[in-house]
Amino acid sequence: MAHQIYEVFLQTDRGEPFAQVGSLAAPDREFAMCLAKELFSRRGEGVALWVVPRGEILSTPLDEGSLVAASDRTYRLGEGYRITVEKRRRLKGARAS
Amino acid sequence: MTDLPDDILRPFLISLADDELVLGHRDSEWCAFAPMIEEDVAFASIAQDEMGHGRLYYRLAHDHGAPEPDALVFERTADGFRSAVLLERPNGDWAYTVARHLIYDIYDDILTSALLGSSMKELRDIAVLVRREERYHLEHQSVWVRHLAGGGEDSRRRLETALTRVTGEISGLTEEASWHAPLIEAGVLPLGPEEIRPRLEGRLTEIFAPMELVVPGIRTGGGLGGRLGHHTADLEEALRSLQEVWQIDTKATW
Repeated sequence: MAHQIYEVFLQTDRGEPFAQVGSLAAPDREFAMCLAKELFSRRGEGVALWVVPRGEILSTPLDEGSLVAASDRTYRLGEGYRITVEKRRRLKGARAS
Repeated sequence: MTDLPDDILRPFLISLADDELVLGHRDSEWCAFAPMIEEDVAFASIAQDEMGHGRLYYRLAHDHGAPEPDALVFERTADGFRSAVLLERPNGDWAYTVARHLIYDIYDDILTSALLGSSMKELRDIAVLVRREERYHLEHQSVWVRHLAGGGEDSRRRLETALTRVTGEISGLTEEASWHAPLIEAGVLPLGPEEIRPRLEGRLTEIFAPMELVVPGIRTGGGLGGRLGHHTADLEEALRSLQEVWQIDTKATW
């Protein structure tokens, strides 16, 4: 039997996102699903599984840093906004005194 | 629950447990030898399930006056076991292992489905638990059998040989024993061996006919004696291995 690699994604609870939990080799889709259940969800780990042939997943090149930001833009994050508000508050406080 | 004497209930519960234990032990012998690593993990998990089901029935038997589960497993000789002869046979090849397991799982499915309607609450509760896992076993073995049947000349031939061997001893699963009649009467066992047999035959035909596999007559009358404690040397061999460590020091604390 020629085997293919399948990636397994588990949903831990209704409404939660599916997260990759591992991979397995299987001769076909039916076997892949059967083994995925046995290997990844037999102890109540989750409520649903996705089993995907690895070759069917579109992926960015793993060795290129194409998704890494070129410059620091953390000021655009929500976190950055909170820091800005805090700074402004401190500044006003310093003026008032 | 009717006032059924414990000495009728006990051998029945022990026969249910022994089936699971002996098959579970055979399953466990594949650990590190299954055809692929994924199957190895899955099959070891099935082995644990079967032994776990055995423990549920042993505990219930203990509640009705039988020795502790550990004592039942490790301290009885072969003639005390009430399991079907079919289940003590060595694994042979993978095809035999899978074919036997599938047929046992179907038998177990019919039996536990009936136990859901038992007059004994503890048995109903066990049936619910057992069936939750047996669903996986049934699916697992069905997938394997379909693949072996359609896999190639060698795998198909092995499956056919295995089916002939298994079906020759199926009768032992539904062997009549003295406890069946009173249990049926009390509603503890809603389905007797007589009624399980045609259902089993029907389910097997449903599965194997579409694969054009001939299921030789399942009422061969082979493989009998197990429910009465008459076993083959295969069970003695299995018990030697199963009880070996316990026997080194029976008083050890684990």
